[in-house]
Amino acid sequence: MKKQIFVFAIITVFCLFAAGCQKKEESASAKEPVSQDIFAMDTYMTVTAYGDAAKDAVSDAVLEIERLDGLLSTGNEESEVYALNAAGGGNISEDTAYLLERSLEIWKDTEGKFEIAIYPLMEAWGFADGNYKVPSAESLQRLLTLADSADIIFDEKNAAVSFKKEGMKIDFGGIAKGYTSARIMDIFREHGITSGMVSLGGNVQVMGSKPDGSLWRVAIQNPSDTGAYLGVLETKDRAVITSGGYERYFEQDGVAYHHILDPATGYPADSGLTSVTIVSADGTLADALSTSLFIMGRERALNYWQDHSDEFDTILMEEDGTLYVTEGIAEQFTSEAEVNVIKRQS
Amino acid sequence: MGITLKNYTPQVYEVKAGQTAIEEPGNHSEEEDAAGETETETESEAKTAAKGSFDLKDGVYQGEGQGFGGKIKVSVEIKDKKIAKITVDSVEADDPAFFNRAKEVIERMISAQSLDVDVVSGATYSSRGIINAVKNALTGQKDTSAAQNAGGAAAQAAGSGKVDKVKESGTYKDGTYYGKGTGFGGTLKVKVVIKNGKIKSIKITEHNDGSNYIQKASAILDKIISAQSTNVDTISGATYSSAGIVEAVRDALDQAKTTKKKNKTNNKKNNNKKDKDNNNNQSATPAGSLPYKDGVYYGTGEGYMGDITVAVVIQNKTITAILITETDGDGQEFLDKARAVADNVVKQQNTNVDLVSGATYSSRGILEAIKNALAQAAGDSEGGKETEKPSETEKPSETEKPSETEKPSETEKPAVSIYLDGEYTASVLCSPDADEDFDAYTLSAKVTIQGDKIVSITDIAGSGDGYMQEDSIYINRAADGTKKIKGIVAQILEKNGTDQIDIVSGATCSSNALIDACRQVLESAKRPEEAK
Repeated sequence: MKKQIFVFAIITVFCLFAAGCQKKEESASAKEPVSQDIFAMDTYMTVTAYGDAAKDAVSDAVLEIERLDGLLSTGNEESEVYALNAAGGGNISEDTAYLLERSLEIWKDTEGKFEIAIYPLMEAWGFADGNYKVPSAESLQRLLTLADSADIIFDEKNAAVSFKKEGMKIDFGGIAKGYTSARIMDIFREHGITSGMVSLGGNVQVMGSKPDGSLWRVAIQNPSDTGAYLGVLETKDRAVITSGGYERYFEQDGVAYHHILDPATGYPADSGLTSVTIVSADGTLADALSTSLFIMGRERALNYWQDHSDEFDTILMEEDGTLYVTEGIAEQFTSEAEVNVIKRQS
Repeated sequence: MGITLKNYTPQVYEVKAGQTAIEEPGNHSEEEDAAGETETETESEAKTAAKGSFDLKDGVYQGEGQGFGGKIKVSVEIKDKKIAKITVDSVEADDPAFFNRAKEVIERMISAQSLDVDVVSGATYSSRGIINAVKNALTGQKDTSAAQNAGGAAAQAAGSGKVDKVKESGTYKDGTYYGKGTGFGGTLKVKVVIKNGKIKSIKITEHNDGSNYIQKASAILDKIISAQSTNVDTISGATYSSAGIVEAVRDALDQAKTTKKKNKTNNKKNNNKKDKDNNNNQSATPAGSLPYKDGVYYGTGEGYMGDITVAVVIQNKTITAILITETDGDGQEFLDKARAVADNVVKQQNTNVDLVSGATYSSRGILEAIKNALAQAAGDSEGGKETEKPSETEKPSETEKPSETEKPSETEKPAVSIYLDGEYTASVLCSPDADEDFDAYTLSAKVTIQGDKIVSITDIAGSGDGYMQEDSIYINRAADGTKKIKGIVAQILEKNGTDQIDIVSGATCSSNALIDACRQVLESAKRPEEAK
């Protein structure tokens, strides 16, 4: 009974204003966003678009997410990646081929820090199924020999892939969400959407600017406090993707083990960085680089940026809370904390 | 998380039907504000003159009780052997949101003139704390219950998917202990056996979760035993069930503690040695300059599984607190994140962020709710609405769901009756398509037809081997819809048929099954002559 009164009171308050605002809302309907939330790729996702075709664009985007999830999931027995891992190779479709190509390219470019062949190690640590455990040093050593993209043979012509070693498995987990958000931007474009945004489990990509022409305001999660932000980035037409050891991890004997494994050691990366944000027009690249730079550590990450500053910008946070922001986005980034701006070396 | 709210002293106004919705702070006599460390005053006058039965001298008696997070102190005024007034003097650490709800027991005690009143559900610890404090004041009886330790933070909130780490003593008194937690579908109970000071075995004695989830989640039992600690990770894919298990085990271990001590909560999962934490401990709300009048404003946004309603408290042009007052189907894990977003709005004094990179959860629903609340605040400040009469506010608006009795326009009324009146029950198989991840189950519904009109659709439920507790969320979503999407029931009643019904997104299968069930009913309800 009590609850009913309460609900009624809310409705009452609501109606009061609804009645007064109705006209305004109608005329502004074109500017009202269409939004949908879905759970896919093991995470929460939100797709939002503005404009006349927003409804179709959003539903097509959701279909695309579901399609890619069905293709790339390592756990889904019907997925292409699952079949590939089970059989040690096989023919692949266009999307998978593209992702493989990009993955190998970024693997080379990051000197192996981005590694899709890391999956056997992810399994050993239990990050694949949630049965977390610290593997023995022996088994890690053995599995490390399987985790090398150099042993992936990709026949582009025939769209066929094979693994040189038995037991090798790949996982596009470090790049799939970025690719998905990039694909959604394509879909938005096809529908003539000029203003929209997606968040795929914290992987953000925005299209254009907000309907009123202002920039999107994308906050960066603070790794040590879910109730706080590192800062806010104003941006348009960019992917803003953040990696940190804070979202997925487990503890054993007082030690926290997070899910970003260093392919060089087989252990969770311990580079001194707690959060890496990549800002790039290329969502696929941004996703792959966020983990890669996290593994590299500040110095190497910033060196890498110097060589690729035309492709992306980055926001780094170290264990002691020091913040670094690269030149290209320094002016658009605001933070309560002190920010060290990294300039390009000409 | 949640911490931010703790230090506020939000002005909270009770909204009642038939009153002006938002009261001015000045003319507020019934319930004046809430929890805080400094001072609080809750006064409730005895309105009904029950007979005095407290054999005490007139005067003010003080007492204390154990709330959820810490001590609650009260003053009880006795006049003519009756409780004339109960004032809350201080609240150590209870969450204002819970505590406010809990304060209902004060009125209960005064009007009943008895200390034997029911606790407020959903704020059990806080309300028990108040009752015990009053008992302590009047009878001297001490409240022996210990403060809920960190595990309790999850305990009060049902169905926590997230498990915080707690400090544990590591050694326990031998014996068998029973504990209670909340899994996905409801209460989950465990039996914990302690031997030689160690956790020897754990058994789930009762649960309301899907058996395959429980089976999956059971892996956590071994983890707890081998780690001799409940600070283990939940089982992914069975997060709620495993979190419920942890909660229940903690509850049991609490009773097995060798020393009773108050644990300070230690919710931080981060073990960064240099964690500065400067945002987290912010105790003062930054002063704002919002163009809104003081008051409590409500707004609703859409979460993942249903609506989220928030109450935004504005004081001195500042958002002093945001309380999540109602949620439909979203789990605790989602709500924790939502609360973090709310805390942030309080800190920043605006909702000026579109998205958060690196946060797994979308904050859209909660931000939407807060914005809606602020939009009301803006409208309120312009319109000077406090002068309006309550009667006007009660006028139903077009945004309301059509009531079940709504009649289709008369012109549509067919001359000859098509359907036979009666109650029909139909069952339809709801089976997942390739992309959906659940087992097929049977959805049934009772449809009542009267005078060729579908007058009600009730008893909508799932059953069958594949039916699981979780499915009910989808069924409810399909039937009732959300604030934005009209539910199937409302649509069918409105259209008096099953044509052109929009499915409720996020509950596609249940929606289709429900429409099919109604279609079946209409088919079988046709008068024989019509069927020809």
